[in-house]
Amino acid sequence: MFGTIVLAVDGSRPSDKAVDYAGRLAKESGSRIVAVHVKEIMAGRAAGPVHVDEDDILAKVREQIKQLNDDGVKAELQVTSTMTGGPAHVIAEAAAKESADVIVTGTRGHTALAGVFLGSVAQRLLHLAGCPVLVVPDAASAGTGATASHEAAAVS
Amino acid sequence: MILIATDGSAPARAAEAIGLELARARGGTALFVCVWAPLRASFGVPVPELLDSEFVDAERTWAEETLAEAAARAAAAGMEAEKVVAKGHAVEGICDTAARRSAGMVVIGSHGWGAMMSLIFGSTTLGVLQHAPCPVVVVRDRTDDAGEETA
Repeated sequence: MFGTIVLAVDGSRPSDKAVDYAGRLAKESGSRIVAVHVKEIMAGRAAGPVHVDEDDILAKVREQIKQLNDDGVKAELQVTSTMTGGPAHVIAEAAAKESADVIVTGTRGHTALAGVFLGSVAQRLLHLAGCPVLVVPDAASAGTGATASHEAAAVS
Repeated sequence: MILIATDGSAPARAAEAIGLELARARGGTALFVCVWAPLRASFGVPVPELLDSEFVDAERTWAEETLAEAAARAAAAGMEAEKVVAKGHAVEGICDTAARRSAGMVVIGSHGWGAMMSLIFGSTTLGVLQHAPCPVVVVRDRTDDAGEETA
């Protein structure tokens, strides 16, 4: 039912969960994935300095998208940088432009404050998005419910 | 199994539509959950149910009717749906049911009856995002977007 999935990616661990889940979702329903990565100017915040190399992030994200395509999912990557509005705006705009049926995101990215459950980008997305927002939990056990076998088990 | 949390509000109705579509697309079942809370008097002290059975009945009946209406809409759309009435805290009721029934997804409106328009996210929705054992789809009611920029 999700023809187009906009996937928010930033190479963080919660983002990895979102990529996995979106991949399975896309396979299940034959969706197209438009992954959006927003380069952020990362300054140290209350969580302390953020030692993340944008080149490394980009390489990782590109690899993830390549992997999706290798798995038979039609996925593309859009990389933008923003100084104004913030990543959530960029992602919401991309979703509007691509007529996305859903935005898939992790709970938080690299720059979220320590101790905050739902990062500012995910929170802003909930407000800005014109389509449903699917938040993939970070917990290790979560997310397995998406598989077809599990779904069948639940039905029987 | 797609769990659809509902309280009959407009965002819940929007979530219901998305949840039913998801259930249909994935060949799974839809499970409606509505949580009702026993009345709380001042300072959060529970009102003894025996003293207030009339109000308790009214709340429980509201939940049952809300679910029956949702199930009727699902049936009209050709979908079979299960119904679960839970009593107590909404976040707990929704997340416990999701865990117990191994729901693959929870679909919920951005806010219920309690929140002021769409300006603030419902505490139930945020709580479910935090405690659900599975991915959560948050659905907004597009009809109340008037004051909010949607990019």
